[in-house]
Amino acid sequence: MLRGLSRRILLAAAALGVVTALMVTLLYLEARAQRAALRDADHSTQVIATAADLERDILDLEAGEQDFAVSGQARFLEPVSAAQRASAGDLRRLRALLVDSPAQLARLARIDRAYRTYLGDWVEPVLEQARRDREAAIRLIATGQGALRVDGLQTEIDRLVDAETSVRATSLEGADDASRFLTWLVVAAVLSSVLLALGTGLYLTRAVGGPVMRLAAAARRLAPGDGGDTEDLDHLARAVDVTAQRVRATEDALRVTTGRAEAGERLAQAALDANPAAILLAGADGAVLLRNPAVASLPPGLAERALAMDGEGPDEVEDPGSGRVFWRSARPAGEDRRLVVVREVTTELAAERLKQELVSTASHELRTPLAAVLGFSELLLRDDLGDEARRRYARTIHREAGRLSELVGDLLDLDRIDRGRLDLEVERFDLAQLLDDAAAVCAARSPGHDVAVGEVPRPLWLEADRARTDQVVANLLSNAVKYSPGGGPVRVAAAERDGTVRITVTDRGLGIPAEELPRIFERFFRGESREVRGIGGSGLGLALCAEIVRAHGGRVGAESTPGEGTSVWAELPAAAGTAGTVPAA
Amino acid sequence: MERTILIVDDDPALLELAAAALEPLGCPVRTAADAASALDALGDGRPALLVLDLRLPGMPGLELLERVSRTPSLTGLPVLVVTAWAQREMLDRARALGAAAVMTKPYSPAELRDTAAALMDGA
Repeated sequence: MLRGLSRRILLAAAALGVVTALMVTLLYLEARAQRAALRDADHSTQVIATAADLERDILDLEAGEQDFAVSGQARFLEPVSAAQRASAGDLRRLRALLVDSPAQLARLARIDRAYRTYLGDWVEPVLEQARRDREAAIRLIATGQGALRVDGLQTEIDRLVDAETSVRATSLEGADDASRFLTWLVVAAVLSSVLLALGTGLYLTRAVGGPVMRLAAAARRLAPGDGGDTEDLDHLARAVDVTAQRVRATEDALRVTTGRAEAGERLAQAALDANPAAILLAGADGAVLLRNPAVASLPPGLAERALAMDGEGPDEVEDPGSGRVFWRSARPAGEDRRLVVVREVTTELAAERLKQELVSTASHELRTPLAAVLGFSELLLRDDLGDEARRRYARTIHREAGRLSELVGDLLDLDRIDRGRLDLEVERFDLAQLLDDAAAVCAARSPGHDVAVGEVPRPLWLEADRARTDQVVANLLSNAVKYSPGGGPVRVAAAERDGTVRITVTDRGLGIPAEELPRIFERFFRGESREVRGIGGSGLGLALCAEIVRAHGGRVGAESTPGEGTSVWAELPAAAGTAGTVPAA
Repeated sequence: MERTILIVDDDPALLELAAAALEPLGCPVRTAADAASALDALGDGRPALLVLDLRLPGMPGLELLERVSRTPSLTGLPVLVVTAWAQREMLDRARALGAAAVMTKPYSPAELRDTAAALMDGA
């Protein structure tokens, strides 16, 4: 029964829809017709207005011409030609407006002809005459011929206007008709809709009412605590309310549960998708049941290898093609399933290797002076030692202990830099003064070298960490001295350009081979030639200089010619906080 | 022929230390600061003992060691490796390449002297 009922309701709704659509279409078409009629009327109004303009302009023309003839004054000629131009314009506009109406165009052609005749046979001769003989011109005007011709023209124009007026009347009538029809249509549409709705309502009441009554009876029997037998819809309403509430409660509970489940699923999916490790879930037969996006970034064949491996791991897996290294681990994941996780550790391993190298290099570097300190102090304890040897050993111990302490200091500084703990105490100071002091200290330490300050503007203000800048300069100077075993001159100079201060330390020492030049700022790097000549040093000084300069937002560099000397420079922003604006040299 | 000791180390202080430690043995000591001068010195005459640092400019000490063990005229030359590289792997490789003894820096001069004496007596 219900299926038949809904079909009938659908049919009624469809009929209502069709009637409404029909009405709306008719309304639309009629409204369009009305708009077109109104547009036509508007067009006619324009034609009539332009014709009136033409009439007025011709009258102006005649008046101007007469004024000139009577007065003989040239100033009246301007209105004449203005009126002439205006008339020609009016005629042009009329032609354009009437282009779709042959009958009106014919009338316009007559006006045009009459206007030309009036111009050629009357206006021009009168003006001509007026120029030559004003009396004669006045007499000519007195004949009234001009007014006569203008009258004739006006008659022609009036004909055109009359015709257009009737066209406009027709258009307006059409619009009026359309408007009336529209009104009727609206009334008809409303009426038919109301009738249809009423019909459908009546029908539904009959079709649905019966069943509802029966339902109400059933509900009354079901509804708790009511022994009355009044057949009213209250029972139904109450019963339906209760049922609806139950349904709603069930729905809400379901929604909460589903929502929770969905949220959980979304979270799990997000975690899986965002996981940088490749995650594979394999079934008992080895088939992959699930894989996250990171699996796609594994080198070809690696996922298969990881799946085929036994044990929980973690095991290292290397891709022979790319050299990338992975850690693969596996865990049971429920009945007969296995979760295999593959995580790339290439960079971690590289960093680890670098750290190990650093540690082993550092320990090697520390062991060397330590060996000297321990060894010579043991020798000092020997009884058979001469005074000279004793002094020499003590000096060596002192020197090597100093080297050890310097090395430890440098290592600590580098560690501080690596952990981002190098705190710069930026202040404004005169770099020229600092260079003077640093050069003096270095010169005192190396009496065999000519250490001096070269060209530097005075004062040269710099915003930087003063102690660290001093450390850089001292380091560069001692390096230059160290690698000038011949005792050549060492110069430190500074200059400012485009907000950058460049400190340059130049020596005429051993020089650095081109292939070693890019590596001199690396930690523990010590050039071949330096070692051949037995020059000591940790290989940390320049690396530390570079880090300090970089911490200031500056850069370091060097130029060198083997056998001729080296020039190492450090560039610092002249004012703190302008790092990054330094142009490339 | 006089028994000499050749010490190869790139660090001047440690060269001096080894020389001073071995002085009581009464043998003339020659020193070299890099692989090239070590090879020159070995060409000049076979020493009774070679004390070799593993980190050398010009050529890794292990390579020099291998050269020595492959040179017929130097067969049986005892080599005492002294290194600041403390990794076991490095020390094992030195032994495999023919080092008679391996000591790590820092070392005791007395120990160096005793080991050197033992090696020279055994040769």
